Parts: sequence; C-alpha cells; structure tokens
Amino acid sequence: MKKILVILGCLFLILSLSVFIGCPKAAPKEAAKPFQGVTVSVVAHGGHHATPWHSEAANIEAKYGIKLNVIEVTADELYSKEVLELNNRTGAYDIIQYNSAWIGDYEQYIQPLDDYVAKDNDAIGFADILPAFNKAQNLWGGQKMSVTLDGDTFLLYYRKDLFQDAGEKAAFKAKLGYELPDPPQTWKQVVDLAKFFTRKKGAKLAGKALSKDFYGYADQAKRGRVYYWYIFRFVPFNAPTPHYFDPATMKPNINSAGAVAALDNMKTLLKYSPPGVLSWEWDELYAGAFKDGTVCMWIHWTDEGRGFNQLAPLPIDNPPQPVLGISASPGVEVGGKLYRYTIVDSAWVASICKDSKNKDAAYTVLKHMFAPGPSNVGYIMDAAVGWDPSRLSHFNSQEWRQKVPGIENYLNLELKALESGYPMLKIPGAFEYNDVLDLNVSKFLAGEIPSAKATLDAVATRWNELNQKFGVEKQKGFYNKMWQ
Amino acid sequence: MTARQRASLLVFPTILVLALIVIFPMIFSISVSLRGYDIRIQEHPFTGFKNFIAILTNRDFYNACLITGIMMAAELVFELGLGLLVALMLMNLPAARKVFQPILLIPMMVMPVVIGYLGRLVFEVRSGPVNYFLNLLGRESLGWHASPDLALVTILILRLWQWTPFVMAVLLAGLLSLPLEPYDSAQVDGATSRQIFFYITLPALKPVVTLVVIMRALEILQTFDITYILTLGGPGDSTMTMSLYTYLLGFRYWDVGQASASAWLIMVPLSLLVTWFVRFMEKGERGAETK
Repeated sequence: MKKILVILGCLFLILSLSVFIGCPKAAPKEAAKPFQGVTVSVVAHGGHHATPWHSEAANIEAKYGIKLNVIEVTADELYSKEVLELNNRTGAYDIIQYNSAWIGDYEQYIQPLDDYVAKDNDAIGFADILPAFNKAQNLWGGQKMSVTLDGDTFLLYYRKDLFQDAGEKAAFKAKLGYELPDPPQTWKQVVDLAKFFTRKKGAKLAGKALSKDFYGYADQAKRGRVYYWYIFRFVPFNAPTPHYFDPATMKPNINSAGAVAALDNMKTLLKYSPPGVLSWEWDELYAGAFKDGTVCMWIHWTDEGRGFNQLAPLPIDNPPQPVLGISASPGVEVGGKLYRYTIVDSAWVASICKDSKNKDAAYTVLKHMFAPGPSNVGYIMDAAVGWDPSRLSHFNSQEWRQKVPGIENYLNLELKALESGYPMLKIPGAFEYNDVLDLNVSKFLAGEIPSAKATLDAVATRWNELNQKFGVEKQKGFYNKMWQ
Repeated sequence: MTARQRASLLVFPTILVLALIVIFPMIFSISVSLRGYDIRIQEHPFTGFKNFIAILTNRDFYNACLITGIMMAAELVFELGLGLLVALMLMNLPAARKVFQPILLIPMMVMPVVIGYLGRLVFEVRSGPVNYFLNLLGRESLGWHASPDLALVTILILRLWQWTPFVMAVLLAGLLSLPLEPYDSAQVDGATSRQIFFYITLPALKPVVTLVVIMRALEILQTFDITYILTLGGPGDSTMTMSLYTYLLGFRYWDVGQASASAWLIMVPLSLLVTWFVRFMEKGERGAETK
C-alpha cells in the first residue's frame, strides 16, 4: 500500500511538472483582420509592371486578410480580355489596370471612387496626384473613376552640353540672328536648331571633328505609335484653344490649318533625322539618341530623364561631360504669346469594377498600393518597375533626391512641364481614331500621300465615319465628359 | 454490336472534336460576317452583305491583297528554286548531307516573333550589321524596313531565310525516294544531266512540289508575326498583309463582323486556287502517263 501511494505521488508530481514545463503559453488573441478570407483579383499589365502587386501581396494579406490574385496580361491583350469580362458581367475582376483612353467603353462597368474618397478623408491621396494626371486620366464627367498607377508623360530632351558650347552659340547667333535658345521654346526654333546641328562625319561639332554623322532631331516614327509625335505638334499648333473635335458639333479639327502646319513641321524635321527613323520604335529612339549620342533633340517618355546620368558623350574626341537638357515639349507663338503643352499619356490607371463582389476590399487594396507613403515612392523610384511619378509626394521625395544626386533637375523640370498638361483622346473607339491618324501620318511621312492637307482630310473623313458608327450625340457626350 | 457500329463509335470522338473546333466556328464566323458585330456594342443586328461590301470598297483591302500576292509569288519562286538547288546538292553529297542538313534546318526552328526582333536589329539602318558589311564593300547603306520601297523586300529576305530549309527538306525527301531505274535507263540511252533533270527528275517530283506549293501558300497567307513585329504594316501601308489587315479589323478596331467577312473573302478564292492547282498538276501527271 505504501509503495503504491509513493508511486502514485511520483506520477502526480511528474504529470504536474510536465503540465507547467511543456505546456505552451496561450497564444495571444489575433486582432480580427477586416477582410479575412476575401480574395481580390487584379488584372495587371504583365511583366515588370506587375512587380509591385506581387511584392505587396504578402503585406496585404498580413494586414487586411485579403488574398491578392494578380492576373498578368500583355499590354496588347489587356483591352480585349477586360472588355470581354466586363461586357459579360462575370465579376471575375475586382481591380483592373487599363489605359484611361478606354474609359468611354468602360465607364458603365467602373465604380466611381468619390464616395470612398469622401468617407476616409482622401486617405488614398487624390489631392496628392498632380492636377495634370487627374485631369487627363482619373476624372471623367466630374467623377473620380480611377487612380493613377503610372505617370507617363512626354518631355523634350536635348544635348545641353552642346547648347552650352560658346563656339556653337556664337555660330548660331551669327547664322540665324538670335541667341541659341536653351531650352528650345517653339517648334520653329527646333527646326532652326535641327538644321544648324545636322552635320556629317568629319565636320566640326563643338570645335572638334565628328566621328559619326550627327543629326538635329529624331521622332519615334514607326507605324503604330507615330501619331503621338504628331499630337505633340497638333496641340500647340492649334493654340490657343486646341481641340480634337468641335465640342458643340463633333466636327473633327484634325484637318485645320494648324493641324496641316503641324504635319508639315513633322515632315520638315525628317530631313534632319537619322536615316531609318521611320522604323524607330521605343528601343531604337532610346538607343540612337540617348545611348549612341548622335541626336541633338528628341521627345520621349520619362526614362531618359530618370536615367539622365547615362547619356552617351558627343561623338567627338575629348567630348565635354554629357549633360542632358530636359524641357516641356516645344510650343507655338500665337499673337505674341507662347503656348506650350505637355501631353499626358492616358496610361496607366487602376479602377474598381462595378461587378466586383468585394468593392470595399478592392478599395483597401488600392489605398494600400497608391496612398502617399514610402512603399509607393519606393516602387516609383525603381526604374525597373516602370511606374513613373505622378504625385507631389513622388516629385518632392527627399529620399529620392538623396539617393540619386542630380535627379532633382528632372523632377523639378517635369513638375513644371506638367503645369500645362493636356490629355489624349478619351472617347469610345479612341484606338481606332488614333490608328487612322497613325496610318495616314505614316503614309505621308513615307511619301505615299503627297500633301499634309490631303493626309489630314482623309483622317477627318474617317473620323466622321467613326462618329457615325458610335453615334455623334453619344460621342459628343463622351468628348465633353473628357474635359470635366 | 456490328463492325460498322463499332467503327462509328470509335470515330465519333474525332467527329465531335472536329465539329467543335472546326465546323461550329466556321458556321459561327459566317453568321458573324453577316452582322454588325462589335464586341463593345451589345446589339449585333443582321446587316446582310454590308460587311463584305465595306471590305470590297475599301482601298486598304486591295492593297493588302496586292502585298500578299507579291509575297506569295516571290516566296514560292525563290523558296522552290533555292530549296531545290540545295536539295540537289545535298542529294549528291551524302557525307555532307549528314553535317549540313541539321544545320540548314535551324532557321525553321526559330519562332517568327524572334525573327522579327532579330530583323529589327540586323537591318537597323545605322547600327545593323547588314549595312555595316555593305559599307565595308563600298556600298551605301540601304533603308531596309524603314524604306517604303524596301520594307517588303526585308520581310521576304527574313521569310526566305526561315522557310527555304523546309522546302529543301521536303524536296530532298522526295528526291531520295525517287526510283533509280529510270535514271539507269536514261544513262544507258545516253541522256545528258540536263535532260535527266528536266525529263525525269522534275516530272517525278511533281506530287512533292504540289504538296510544297499548297503548304507554303497556306502558310504565306497567314504571315503575321514577322510583319507585326518588324513593320506593323508600315512604313505607311507598304507591308500590310491580308492577315495583318484582318487582325487589325478584328482585334484592334473590334469590328469582328468585318474581320470575319475579310477572312471569308480570303479563304474562298484561295480554296479555288488550290483546287485548280492540284487539278493542273494531276492533269500534267496523267498527260505524262498516257504518252
């Protein structure tokens, strides 16, 4: 009996000890995540553009309980895939990335964001987005339909190292009778400068012999996107009130006197452009102008501005330190006043789909991704991602300025240029209107159509047909919404 | 179950698949071609032959037909000529055949999209190697795909590089399968090499040539990738092929009705052309047999 009691006592002791030693601490109660178990599907431009969505998926799940399903689609297929899903109202997508030029086709399927913005006191930071981007991309009929994801815009780049050469400045003034403009302000000045600086291999540039042919100007003139480089001229050449259509009647303005002068300017500058420029897409213009250093002036997206310190030297012996000049697109003087416009690309924005079953969760994701803060700025600063600055918090980022000495020049100049932002066409069928323009501009530049007037008359005829196809009154309504 | 019933049952899955992926889409595309079918607009009203008339009264369609016709004629002539030449050389050099035939087939394995991008680099006017070597030979640089006069030539060069090996391989297989007796008889009768080639080899190769022409013609009609990447139909519309034209109609302008009509306008004459060509070749063979 005594033995049994001793054994039982030992067992009890061992069991008691094991309870206290082996027993894990009770886990603290986890705060309930607001959207636990919710999946939000995002359609994103495939490749590097989708990187931030993937990178933030784990953070979003940890913070909100939202599982992010990123669906990558190539840029060419984005429209078709989205339109098919939206038209069939499948609710498959909660957030879509798209080109805001498609808003006319999408508007009935997009959830306006005004109520969300008002409810949380603009935590997503609409006020932080530059007015140029809100006007060109996010506002539609006075409503906030999207948030800017990528602040694509266009700037004039030029060889400031060449413009600063004393000898060239003196020679320019002697030949043309006015001071070499740094930066060029008007398209007329661009033509004068392009003609002045186009020189053959062996000729002198900045006092030294050229090792390669040097060209005054280059457009990205390949069929497919050459219409952009026409629109950079069309808008200022139709100052002071440029319009793609007459807002009251939808009569195309694409063959106005200003429009014809703009196209003639484009053809004139071909004479001072590298041979083969009619086959130049993004890569070729970037390589030829920026990496090869044999072009004096060009208009392009913001990549050169961000990579300003990688400009190739001039193709001469002992060239000066390469300096990239950045400016707003050239303008036109009308009645003694200079009118300049910075064309704001309509891509890329993100919106919530009306058929989403998780709109609140989707808005939370948008806020997480785009609200002003170090995370968002981090992706903007990374050139590999391809998201360009669009907010005051981006342009004024001290972190960026400290990390990349010299970037303030690009940031300040782009900020200044965007004070006169101008939108691209945003009505249903925008792609067709633009592609008709693109095809005919390409034909004119290739010499298939003899005159700028005939070229643009053909465009105007086709634009009228497209107006009829979509409905003139409907298009008028959409066109007016574009400016609200 | 009878043998006939068993056979029907075994064939049924194939017929079902064919019906789903070939017959139904064909019938649906005829229906779409007779409608105003824009995927952005909910209504798709019946419009009769309006789409066909719109295509047939559009200058761009005829330009695309002309470009495609030029490509087809040039590619068939050069691919057959070069392919036959190389096939004959390899046939007479069995040791070399083992080494060179696999190497010569490499271009065929390269994706057309990749060839398009390669073309952009190789034919780049200022920095491309083609103009570099032209300059070394004392010639001026050419505009290649940047020139409305040479863009189509550039595309043809790339396509010849890609597809001549295929023609060579098929013709070589045909040559190697020819019976030897006619050649022995011809040599005994004192025929020259030229006579042997024109009176024995070529007629014997007719079925193979017919096959090659039909296969190549159908593939040329589908030319898309290289043109899309290299020129997108430009400069202007100097390289706008029918398939690219149809693609732009259907997948850029979203007028699926017109795109379907365009596809049918291409397919019907092509089917007639192929049928005529086969009959022409068969007639030639029957003519040779009765002699």
